[in-house]
Amino acid sequence: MNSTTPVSAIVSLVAFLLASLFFGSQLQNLRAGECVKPPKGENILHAGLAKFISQLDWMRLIQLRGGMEESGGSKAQVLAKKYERITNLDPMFSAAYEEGALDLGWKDADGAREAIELLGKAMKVQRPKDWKLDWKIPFMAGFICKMRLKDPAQAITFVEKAVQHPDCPGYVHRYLINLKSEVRDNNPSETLKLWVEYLNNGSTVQQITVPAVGIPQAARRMRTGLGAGMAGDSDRHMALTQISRISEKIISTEQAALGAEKDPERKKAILARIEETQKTVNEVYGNTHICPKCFRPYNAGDSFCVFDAAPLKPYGVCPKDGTVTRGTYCQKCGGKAN
Amino acid sequence: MNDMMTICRTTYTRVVRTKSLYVLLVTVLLLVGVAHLYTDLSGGRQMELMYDTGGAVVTLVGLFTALMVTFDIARDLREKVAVTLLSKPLGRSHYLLGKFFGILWIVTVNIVVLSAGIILVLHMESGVWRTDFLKLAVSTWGAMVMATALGVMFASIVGDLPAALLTLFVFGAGHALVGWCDSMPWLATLLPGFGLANFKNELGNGLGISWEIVMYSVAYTLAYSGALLSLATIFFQKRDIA
Repeated sequence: MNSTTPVSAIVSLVAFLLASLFFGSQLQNLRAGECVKPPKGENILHAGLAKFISQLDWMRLIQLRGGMEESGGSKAQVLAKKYERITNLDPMFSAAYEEGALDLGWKDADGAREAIELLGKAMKVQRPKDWKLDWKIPFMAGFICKMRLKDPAQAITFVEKAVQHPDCPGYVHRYLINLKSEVRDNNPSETLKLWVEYLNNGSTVQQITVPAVGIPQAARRMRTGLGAGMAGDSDRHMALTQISRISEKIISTEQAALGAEKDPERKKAILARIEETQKTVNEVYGNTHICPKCFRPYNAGDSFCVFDAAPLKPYGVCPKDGTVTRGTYCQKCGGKAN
Repeated sequence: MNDMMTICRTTYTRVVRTKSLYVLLVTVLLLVGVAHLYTDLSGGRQMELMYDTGGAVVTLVGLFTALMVTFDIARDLREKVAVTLLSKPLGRSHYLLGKFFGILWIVTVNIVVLSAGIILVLHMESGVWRTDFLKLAVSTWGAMVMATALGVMFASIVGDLPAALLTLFVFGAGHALVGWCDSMPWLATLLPGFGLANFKNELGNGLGISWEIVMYSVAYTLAYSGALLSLATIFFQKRDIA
């Protein structure tokens, strides 16, 4: 240090460096909680404009894609690189992941693997704690796994991530049940358990309001009283329909087996299974009147099931004049309905 | 202090008289405004495109305005204006600070005008006041304070073109090296961490970031700018400008 070196400048240099060290480390701590990890593809030439450059690349990709008649073979490689670059520049570019997966995943098994790799990259993005991954990303990965790679077990791991998202629609939950059922060889008893579980844990399913057009009145009444945690009418209705259908299938199969069975022990086991299924379906429907054969709800006054003509025990009928009552008492004579 | 303010005002006035500056500002605002016409080209992402273009424009205009300081100081040295000024009872540090604040004034005005224009354009297109753009503008302003200080530091050592190129290089490197700061936090003290004050990815994707982090980024850039200006003063004291 010579006489021309200002001491005040050196003191201020040290002070400012210490201050920048303090604020810099605070800033990095805050960034870890609120910001995505800086993109891998960022280099000196991007100069902080990676997000803008990703938009420009996206527009160029759309033009390129529009000019292609098909996206297989070497063109798929070109597309894969472009999607890779865009998502490197902006790791949260959801549209690029989704479009890329659709573009790549529908041609062949290699393309499907590349699509899953691209979607996997989206799932691995280190994101702030308050930011949820778009449910479509893992759902698409699961869908491609199932449809293109014929790997339902792997598909389940992806779709399970999708259903954790609060905005995930009901059909994804049902798709997960179908996948789980498939890996259990479509065993009806196992599938029934999955549907019952879905009905009981329905609070995680997105609310969907669908007018219950064409559904028997009793079924509508019944559905509004069932599954307090369950979401919309549509989801609940579908779950109940599946439970009825599978229960009917189980019982008819078991009854057929019972007729052919000679061994008393096995007969006992079959009867136990029938009883268990009936108990399950009755618990699901509660006090609702259901057909003993097909397990679907029926309307007040019905003597035969509209689905399978099975004889029913009528309810909601006035014992005096046979009127189908609209409430507890007959609207014509005041008698108490049975 | 008065001497410094005089230099600051003179620098500001000289640049503000440049008509091309206004043409540039209007042009870039038009650029952002017409981005909504890119519906088909962007696959329906025109609003994101407008926002990102706005962020890029604020950065580029701020950066090129900040680079003016390298040319301004070099011109003063070349035309011996600095010699005349420094022959008066004026400290070299005051001269540099005057230049720094003069250019920073223009940078600030440009960023304010552009940001207001972009927020208005975004409102006209979407019907929503995108006030989160203010966070982007404030953090970009912080980065530009640091870029201006960097320009002053390089201009106090080398000529105009090398100083401008070095400033651009360090600006790019400061963004690229941000990923390394996770494992080496001290790197943000060794090199200007421009990337730490860059929230374009988060804000462009609609991820709300807090004002706290924006303010910390500004505090960091101001502290680092102070260090750069101190360094510039040390170098400039030793420089033979006669």
